[in-house]
Amino acid sequence: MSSAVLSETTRNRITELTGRYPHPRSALLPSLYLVQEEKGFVSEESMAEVGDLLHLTAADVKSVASFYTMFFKKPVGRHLVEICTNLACKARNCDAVVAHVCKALNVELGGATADGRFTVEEVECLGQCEFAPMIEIDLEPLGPLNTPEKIDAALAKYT
Amino acid sequence: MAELVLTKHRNVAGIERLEVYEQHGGYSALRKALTEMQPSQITDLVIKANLRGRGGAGFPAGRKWSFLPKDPDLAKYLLCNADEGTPGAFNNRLLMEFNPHQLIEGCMIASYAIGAKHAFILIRGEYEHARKRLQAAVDEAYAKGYLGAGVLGTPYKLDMLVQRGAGSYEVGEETALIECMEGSRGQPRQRPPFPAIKGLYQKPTVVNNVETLCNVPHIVNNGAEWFLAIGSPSCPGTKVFSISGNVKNPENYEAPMGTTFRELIEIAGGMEDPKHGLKALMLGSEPPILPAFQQDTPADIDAVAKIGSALGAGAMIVLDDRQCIIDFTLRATQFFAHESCGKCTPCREGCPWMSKVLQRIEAGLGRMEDIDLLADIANNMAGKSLCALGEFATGPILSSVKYFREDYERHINGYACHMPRELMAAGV
Repeated sequence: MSSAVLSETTRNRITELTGRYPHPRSALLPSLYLVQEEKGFVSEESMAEVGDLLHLTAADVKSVASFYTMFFKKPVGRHLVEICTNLACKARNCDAVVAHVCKALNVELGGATADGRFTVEEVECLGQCEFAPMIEIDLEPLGPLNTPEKIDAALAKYT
Repeated sequence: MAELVLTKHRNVAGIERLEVYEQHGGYSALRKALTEMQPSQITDLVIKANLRGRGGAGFPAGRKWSFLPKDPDLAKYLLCNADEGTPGAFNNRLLMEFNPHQLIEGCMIASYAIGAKHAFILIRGEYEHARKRLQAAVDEAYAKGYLGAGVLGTPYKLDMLVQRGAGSYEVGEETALIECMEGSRGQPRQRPPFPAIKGLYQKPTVVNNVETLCNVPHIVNNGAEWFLAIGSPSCPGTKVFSISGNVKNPENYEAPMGTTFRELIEIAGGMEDPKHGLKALMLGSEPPILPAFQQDTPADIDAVAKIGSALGAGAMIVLDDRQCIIDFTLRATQFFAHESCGKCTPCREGCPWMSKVLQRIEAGLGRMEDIDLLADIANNMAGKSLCALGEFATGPILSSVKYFREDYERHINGYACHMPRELMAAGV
């Protein structure tokens, strides 16, 4: 095994997790969350290390991590802005939210701001449709953001 | 106002705490089930009450339970599907956030009925607030002896675990949910074997939706006759409808099954802008779109199926006459193209293809033969994949071609609404 990239604490927590399930493999998704909590994203090295801890191949771990959109495979900004553009938000003009957020932060969808403050992503329905048009910042739902002022105020809270 | 069942205590402060939940009758059904009833009696009761799955398929929950082998030495599992991902559905989120113990009690009674010693709740990764609420409630239930060895002082032992998903609509499909719970890619399995025989960890498993399980304590407490008296004859009980889009007050509203869509729009405060009438209803992104003239249909599983659509998870996205059906059909199709897990070719290839054709129609670059092409692709996808996603993706397309063909023709004849962002960015 190559040298460890994960902290002792994370490694111990992952080992601990395996005992919670009838089959240790079920600890894989929670383990990837622990990695992301520590590192901010899930790197090739950390996936290999998780594989060692759970007795899975690095390829197996990567095949799972790559299937789920909530695991980041590269570093992201300090705050994650997720803009819902699905049906309920669309009916409430989410296109204006996308346009304003991208302009205000000078960023394209899927990209990060130059200062590393925000990563902005377009996402599928977040199940918060009563707040449409809505966004989530670091999984905190914010809405309805139906004026540019409300969008600016929401973004300003995250530094 | 009709009787509220699942959201009755929505405004009770602190109902998320075990003590307050109990003050309002919580866990009395569990007590009754464990001390006065045999597991098979509970299953029979739920069959008699005709509790049908609230996740979309509408299969009778009690019958699902009855398919499990009765061998007491065989490990069995309950897996609660809390991976609510249907666009426009947010009722499971409400049920978990405001009253997590109601769901836990439902899971416990169902587990006892099927003889499971482990129950799992797999909640979608984005629902962090709901997950924390649920986890706190599970911890509380353990601390007070409601979970673990000797539930409520009886010999029954049950462990419960809340697992977090990680962003995949497909995981809401029951065999993909099992794969996800096992730590694998969330792709569906071939059936048979059905989960009742070989499910989680290859053991007999019941997969039930959050809202389905939340109904169970009320049925145990009040009996089948009481439940059968609410809602439609073939589809009893209430439904928590997630009403969004162009209504005045988008929210979750509990109403008896069979309340008409017109009444539901009224319950949500009527149309957002009275100058703009109803154009169509989307019951999520999967079911065929309902044109305005079908709004007097009762919102229950059978009545909606009868007009060629599906009640689904109770999502209801209200579109007024300012909205473009082609645009919404495109967005729904892009959703499926994004969420298709890639396992079955018709779905993996068909969804992006239909999406591209719709994109050019919406951008004013469509050809008249594209309309039939869309229907042709859709008809070649339906029923040709392992799970229903490949089928779902055809719903908005076939229904919009059927009911809104004029909108397609108008777009193709030079009156397209606007260019989608993707095409503008690509410089088309």
